[in-house]
Amino acid sequence: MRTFKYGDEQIRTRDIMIAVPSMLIAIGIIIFPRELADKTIAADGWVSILFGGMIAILAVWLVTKLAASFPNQSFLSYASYLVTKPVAIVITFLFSVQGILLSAFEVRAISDISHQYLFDQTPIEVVALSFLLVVVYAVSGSRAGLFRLNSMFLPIIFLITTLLVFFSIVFINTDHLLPVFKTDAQGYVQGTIESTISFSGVGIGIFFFYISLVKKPEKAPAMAAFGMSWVVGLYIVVYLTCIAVFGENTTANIRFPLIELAKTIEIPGGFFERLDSVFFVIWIMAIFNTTALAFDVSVMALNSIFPKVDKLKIIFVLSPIVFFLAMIPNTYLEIGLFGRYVSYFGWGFVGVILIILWVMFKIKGAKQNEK
Amino acid sequence: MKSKKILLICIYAFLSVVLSACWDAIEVEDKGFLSGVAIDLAEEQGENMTFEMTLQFVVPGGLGTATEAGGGKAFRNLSQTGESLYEINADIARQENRSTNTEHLKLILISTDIVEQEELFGNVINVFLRQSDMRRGMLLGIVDGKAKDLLEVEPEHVKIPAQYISELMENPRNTETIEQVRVGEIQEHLLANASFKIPQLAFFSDDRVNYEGVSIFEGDKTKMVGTLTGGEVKGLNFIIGKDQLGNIVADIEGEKAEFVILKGGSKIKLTNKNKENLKFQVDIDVETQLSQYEGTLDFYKQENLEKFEKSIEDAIKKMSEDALKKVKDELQADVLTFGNHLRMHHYELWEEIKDDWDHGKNYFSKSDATFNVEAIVREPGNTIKIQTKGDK
Repeated sequence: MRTFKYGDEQIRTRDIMIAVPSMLIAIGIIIFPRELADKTIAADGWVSILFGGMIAILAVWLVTKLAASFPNQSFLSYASYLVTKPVAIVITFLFSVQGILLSAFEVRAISDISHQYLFDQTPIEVVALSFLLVVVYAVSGSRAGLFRLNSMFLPIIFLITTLLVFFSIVFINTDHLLPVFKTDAQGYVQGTIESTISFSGVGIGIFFFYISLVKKPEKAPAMAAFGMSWVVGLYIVVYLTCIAVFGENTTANIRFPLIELAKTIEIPGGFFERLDSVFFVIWIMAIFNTTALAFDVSVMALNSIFPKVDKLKIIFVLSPIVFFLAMIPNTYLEIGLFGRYVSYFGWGFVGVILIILWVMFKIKGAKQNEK
Repeated sequence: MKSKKILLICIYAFLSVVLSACWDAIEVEDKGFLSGVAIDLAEEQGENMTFEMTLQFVVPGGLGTATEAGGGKAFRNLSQTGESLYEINADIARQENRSTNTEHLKLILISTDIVEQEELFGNVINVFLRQSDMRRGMLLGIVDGKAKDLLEVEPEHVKIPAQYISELMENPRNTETIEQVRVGEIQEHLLANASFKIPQLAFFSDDRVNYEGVSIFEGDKTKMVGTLTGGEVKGLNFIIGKDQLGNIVADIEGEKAEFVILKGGSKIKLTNKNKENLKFQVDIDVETQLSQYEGTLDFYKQENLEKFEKSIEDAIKKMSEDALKKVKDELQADVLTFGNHLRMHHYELWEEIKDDWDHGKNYFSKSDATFNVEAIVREPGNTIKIQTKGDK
């Protein structure tokens, strides 16, 4: 069975390197300083981010390494080889479900945040729908185009975040960073779990699929792990800035610490006094990337199960489902819970699949080499 | 083909509705920009606590442009009374033709009548921290007397009173003032139940506001317990090691000398760790420049220079001790950052005593501090002598 329909849409390993941070930088980075500050003392949370980051880097490496061992094969085809075809179809289907849930959550979260900070009169449904329509438009186009969009947005995201940190320097109170290493082991463990989920809850799994588009994927695992390390770096910088500006207690009590950080900044001179509006534009771009990739993977997964169905048809069937799911939660607590479940599901599911596939690969992959 | 066209037209029509996102569009001309808020207790009290809130709106016409001065007043104050700030806000909205925009709100003034009562301060601040379009950078000032009077002050050079007052708090070049206090910082202190300080202002005349001193808040009950003024604020600043720019007057063999502080800092050390009897040592380092001296000592001689330095050290020590005495014994609110020092450098001890620091068992008032001042005169100023009186 040839599922490799988009053979002309080859991407390079460098695109994978950029896709990793594009996928992983999303809603999580806006919220995680709060959750981490709650569990650790002063600025100790960076240790947790580092550990969580190492776990995430390892996970990304394992995913891409496995996928790269079967160059130019779709996930369904190599998973069928490893764990029989029916199981592979179920797994692929679940990946698609995860992608749908994730896009639904991102759509909801971005509409909710923009509702709170940008437009309080516009109904949330309208914001969500407009955002989703743009995502749908991006996904219906060429897949290589999506990756190009990633490489266009990502530098801007990093640039603005750097600016944000730079302009925060005035507001930093170094007293907040002391004392160091006073968190107990339990705090570190909880913090590490928290940051691991924040990193990789959002779909490292997509790289099971995307590696098949890479022509020569030998270097992909190293590139993906490198891309992941940017995310870890960004998280640590953002976390330390939040703590240094707000202090641990306040960070733990601000709903969206990163947004408040953007709002704190006042650049003298009047014209650029408000950096938060720029920051919002950039952040919507980041979340757009994540949503588009997640949605695209759902489509790709379903397409590999039903190769005869047109890609556009799948998109048009999925988008109402995403919209509907996004509109289910009512209050901020339910949205939070939704996010939790999506992360837990994402992390647990990818973890289990990763282990199963690697075990099977060790058993069967060896056989293949003997031939 | 035709049906496809109709479909496309429908889609475009729909998109133009959705993508324009004009639900929230408010023209700049229709926005009432809020520049300052003053909160007082109402003169007539009802069953519950009644506040009086004054909002200061900017009147753009009065501001004029860069080349052309505006005519008339550039602000407009609206006051109402009510039991909650939201209620008052709604009342004011019924009198204002433009929709209130708080994004440029820079100043919050609160009357001492409010903050001297337990817990009220927290309730008032809550609104400013929760509203999503409020910024954490809003400056806070405590007003001795009626807060709304300050928003009526019209200085000649600044058109908007709120702007004048916030600039006044932003630019302290004086040892008797402290750094500006932002609303965001207050949340930190409230969450930690820590004591804190806020600039205290008072009405001076129709065109002036006076920076009176520093209001001291006790963290546990979040109420104002007292005011530091003059030398006490200087002492406080010397102990904390911040905002030391300004002058210092010392006495040298009966003659007055005045010094400008070029640079200063302090270091706090814990010398006795027994929690019933904590002992701090504060090392204060100051570099000064002579700014006024009418005496006859030749300060180009090393021994006389040492006399000068000794006199500065004594003066600083005296002020620090006065401040310590007032803050520790009288007000019993730790605004000297001793608690912060313990948190940063003696975390285990701090965890043990933080709930009884400056309230409850009050370890703070049981503690003691000694001062170790090191002053140098770096520069003598431009001239050596102005008048000749017999040399010594």
